[in-house]
Amino acid sequence: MRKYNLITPDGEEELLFSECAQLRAVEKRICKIFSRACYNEVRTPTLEFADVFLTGAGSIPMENMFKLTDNKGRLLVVRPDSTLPIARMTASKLRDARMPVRVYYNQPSYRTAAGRGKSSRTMQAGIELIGTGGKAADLEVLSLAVAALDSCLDDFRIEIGHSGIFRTLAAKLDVSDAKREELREYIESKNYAALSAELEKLPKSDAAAAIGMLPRLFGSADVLDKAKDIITDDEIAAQLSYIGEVYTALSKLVPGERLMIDLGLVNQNDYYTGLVFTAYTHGSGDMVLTGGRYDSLLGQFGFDQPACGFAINMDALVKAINPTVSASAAVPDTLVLACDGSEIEALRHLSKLGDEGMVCEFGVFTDRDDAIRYAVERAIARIDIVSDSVETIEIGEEN
Amino acid sequence: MSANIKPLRIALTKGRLEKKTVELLEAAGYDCTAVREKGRRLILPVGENIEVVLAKAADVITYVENGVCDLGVVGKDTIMELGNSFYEILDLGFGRCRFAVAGKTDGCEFSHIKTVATKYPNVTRRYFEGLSMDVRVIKIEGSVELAPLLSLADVIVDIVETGSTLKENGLEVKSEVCPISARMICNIASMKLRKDEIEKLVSQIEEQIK
Repeated sequence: MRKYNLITPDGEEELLFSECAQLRAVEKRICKIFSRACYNEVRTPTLEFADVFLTGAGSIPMENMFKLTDNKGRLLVVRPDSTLPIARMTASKLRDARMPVRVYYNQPSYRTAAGRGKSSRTMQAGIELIGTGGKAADLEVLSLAVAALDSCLDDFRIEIGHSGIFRTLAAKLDVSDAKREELREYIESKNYAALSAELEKLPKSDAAAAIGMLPRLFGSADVLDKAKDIITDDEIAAQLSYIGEVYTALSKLVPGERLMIDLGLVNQNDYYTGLVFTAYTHGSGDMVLTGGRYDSLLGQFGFDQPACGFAINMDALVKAINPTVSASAAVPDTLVLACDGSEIEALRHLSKLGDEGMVCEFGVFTDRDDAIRYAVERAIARIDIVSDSVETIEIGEEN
Repeated sequence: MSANIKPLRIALTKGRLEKKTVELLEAAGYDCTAVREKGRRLILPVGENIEVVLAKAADVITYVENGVCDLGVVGKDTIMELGNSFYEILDLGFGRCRFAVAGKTDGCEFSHIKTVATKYPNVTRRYFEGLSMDVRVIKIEGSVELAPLLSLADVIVDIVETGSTLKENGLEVKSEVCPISARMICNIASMKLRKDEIEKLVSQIEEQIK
């Protein structure tokens, strides 16, 4: 039998040294922004019952989840998403908490999407603001999204839309659920040709005409005016003016050229019920952030509460910040070498230097020349040799 | 930091789609001399602000999905086979043909099909699933027409243009799956980050294919 003991599975990846350091630094920065806005960290299980992800809106296709069974034969999955487990957790453990509840998470999620350079693991950090609806809550969440991106990126685009627009229009069409999903996919992929071909097969209506325009309705604020000309429905007019309000408010935070509106923003994640938003940046072909309002999701877990949140794709973010990281280990400031019998004194000396802010490595050499050669090779500038006293050797360029 | 100084990068499917796209770009006023005289180079400048990358069809999708190319020109057949997390923004109208099920003229009835040979296993599975037919799919790399002749499969699913290859081998179209043509695809982030440049290019091309 062939042994795969030296390679990792498709879609997996290991991080070494500076790669970890970079991810960690970004995580620290982002989590600080979350926690100082009074969001508290939660961790949800790595393994969950599959049922959590197979209930109603927001269910995740079976074929995209890694599955296993517990010792009673019940189906488990490796966490494919963090929002659904947090909804489950809120509905069970935080039922009696004073609303609103603010939580953040920083944990990986897994989907079977290997191949063509896609990773099956995504490091995700995000927030959920649970138990409150309305504009103030939406703007709080959006402002944190902007703050998180601002803390890491020089340039990005954030776009907002409303999941209700497509839903309201599609409800007016006399089509099957499968056909509606097909139309949604064409809008999502901005496939103008297929969308209009499909709509031509339907009886002519204002709703069909408006759906045909959705994928083109993205850009700056004038998109809303264009949309108002095309769509006369009252419900949608209210949704459009809501996006307008959010846009105006958000433009106090984000320069105009970074802020966009996309009325064709129709995620497959159909648990969104209101505002939806996405962010992009140069250097990453993927979305770096996605989020929105999901007012009916917690109800699926028997706890009817509005909620809004977002997730940052940390891998995409790190890649955008520094596209060419190579793995390198940190170089210590000092090598601490012990003479025979003085090991503990040397280790004490090392931790004292550490307290002073120095990065020190313990020299595991018995021969002084070996230690010097090692220090030269690794470009360590100083060696402290500890016996009854401490002798310091500075390694100059001449060595 | 203005990353927009980078040229807009388009991945073209090598061969016929490449030639047709170059004709379109030239008609739209872009200088494609470098592509016409490419030699062995794989990344070529077109005018001031565009860069063309030549690749195999499936790789065009990979490059665009991963964002290393902003745009791509690729056949609908490849898109259908490999899925899509990108924008499919334009039907370029050339490279027209169709996916079809074909078999021996004296072959089995359609409803009795059990084995299908194809270069496009995903398209094939989806099509027969849609008809609620349970078939075995065999992936073949080239000259799929051989499979029914050698009795490896009852029928094939393949791209059919004129049907003359089928005819010469005693095969006929049993059922049409769907029409195919060349498409322009776009990376999702690029569409948002470089909207103006992309829309300008797309509308110039759209004018040529009207």
